[in-house]
Amino acid sequence: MSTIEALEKQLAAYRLLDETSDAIPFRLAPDLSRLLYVGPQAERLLGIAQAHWLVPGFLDARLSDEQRAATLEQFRIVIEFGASHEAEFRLLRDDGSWAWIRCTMRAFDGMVAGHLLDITLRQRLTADHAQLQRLEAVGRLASGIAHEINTPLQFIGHSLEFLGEALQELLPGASAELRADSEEALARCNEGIERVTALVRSMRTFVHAGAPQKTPADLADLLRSAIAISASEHRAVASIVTELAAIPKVRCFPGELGQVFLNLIVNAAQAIAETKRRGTITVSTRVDGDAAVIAIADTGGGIPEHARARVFEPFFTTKEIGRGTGQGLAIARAVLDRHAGSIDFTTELGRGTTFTVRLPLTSLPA
Amino acid sequence: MVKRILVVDDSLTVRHQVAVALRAAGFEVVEAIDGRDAQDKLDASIAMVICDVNMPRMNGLELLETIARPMPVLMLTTEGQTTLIARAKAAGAKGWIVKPFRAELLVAAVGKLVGAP
Repeated sequence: MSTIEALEKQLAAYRLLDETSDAIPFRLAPDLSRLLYVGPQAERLLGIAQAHWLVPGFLDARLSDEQRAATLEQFRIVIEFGASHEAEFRLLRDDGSWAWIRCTMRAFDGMVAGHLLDITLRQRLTADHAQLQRLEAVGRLASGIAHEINTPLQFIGHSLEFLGEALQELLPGASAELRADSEEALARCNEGIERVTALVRSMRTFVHAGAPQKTPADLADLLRSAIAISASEHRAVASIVTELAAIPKVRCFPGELGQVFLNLIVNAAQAIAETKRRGTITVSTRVDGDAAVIAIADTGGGIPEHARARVFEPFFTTKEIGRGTGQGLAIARAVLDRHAGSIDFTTELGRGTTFTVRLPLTSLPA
Repeated sequence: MVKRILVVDDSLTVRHQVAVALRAAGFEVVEAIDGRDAQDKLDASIAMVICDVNMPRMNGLELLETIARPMPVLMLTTEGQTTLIARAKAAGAKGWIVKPFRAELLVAAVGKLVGAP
């Protein structure tokens, strides 16, 4: 074997190693305008078609707005000063989701050469872990606050009742106008108290709902609680319409189902918010044969075609990291599995999405 | 002898960031608050200059004009100052770094220009 043949064989062996590794080799042009080469595994590992990588302006188009300038500056310095460097950034995949990448690089023959490693999962786990801890802390806090609010609420209520009666005795000497105004003020106080009481009761439904076994629960109550708790998400962007049929109680894990309804309502509100138009969330229930059917419909932009098959996948999200965990619908499906139920959706671009939850009514007490 | 680097910036924060990064890498740092101050402190012991552009009294480009050519000068710029960068290059600057910068890349650039501490 000649020296050249031996070298070629060795080169082929190195290339094979490089092109089958999880670390994707790449080379970037000196002016950063385009990639000159990317390993063939890039499409499979990062979800960006092979042809797209080599298009001029690829990095400009695929880096996020907040990272673009800083990331390109790092590449520039590596070339200009012959440095080696490690950077982390995210790239837009073809399906609209983000891939987090760890990039090791060095200057090579006037270019940047290096490897890209997909760290999306690690990035998500870290973000999710933080998010879950935050939620857990908020849950504990909410439980404590709900309890603490309840006691003063009760004595405010009782005192108002007393004041109402006392006013009846005090007012006869007052003008008709003062009497009317006072009674109206009292009525407003009572209405406020009722609203706060209802909200606190809703919070307690959620917080105390981690029952170890299934208990009969009123779906309408769970839905109303979910609507009340998520008010801050939907009030500004949507009107809520409820069409709640009379449905017998369902044996379920109320906390888990409540969480599912809450997630669906929050998702609906966010879908509407993205359209920048005020919309409607319709929450309805009905009985269909031996199943209770709960539908949550929004007038948002609909789910894009490429995302439809993946919405129930754990970690799939098109939202910013830290905003959506990509867990909401995955958890919903798991919860419905535990209830021998199902969750599905219909969607139309520009018209909105309807999520439909089915729960069996069969094993119910009368 | 440890190499001394003159850091010229009217922002205390930037001077501090640059100084911390360079000292951690083993360099010695002399700080100046503008071009005039830098002129007073620039002597034979200085190995290179890292210099902001916009400063009171004497700015970075004016300072650059007064520095003899063999002295490496690295400019600190803010994003989008392309004409300034071109003028600085023409006046003999060895390169530029955009603020906010990565400490390890600044150190790599300095190492490239003056060698090990």
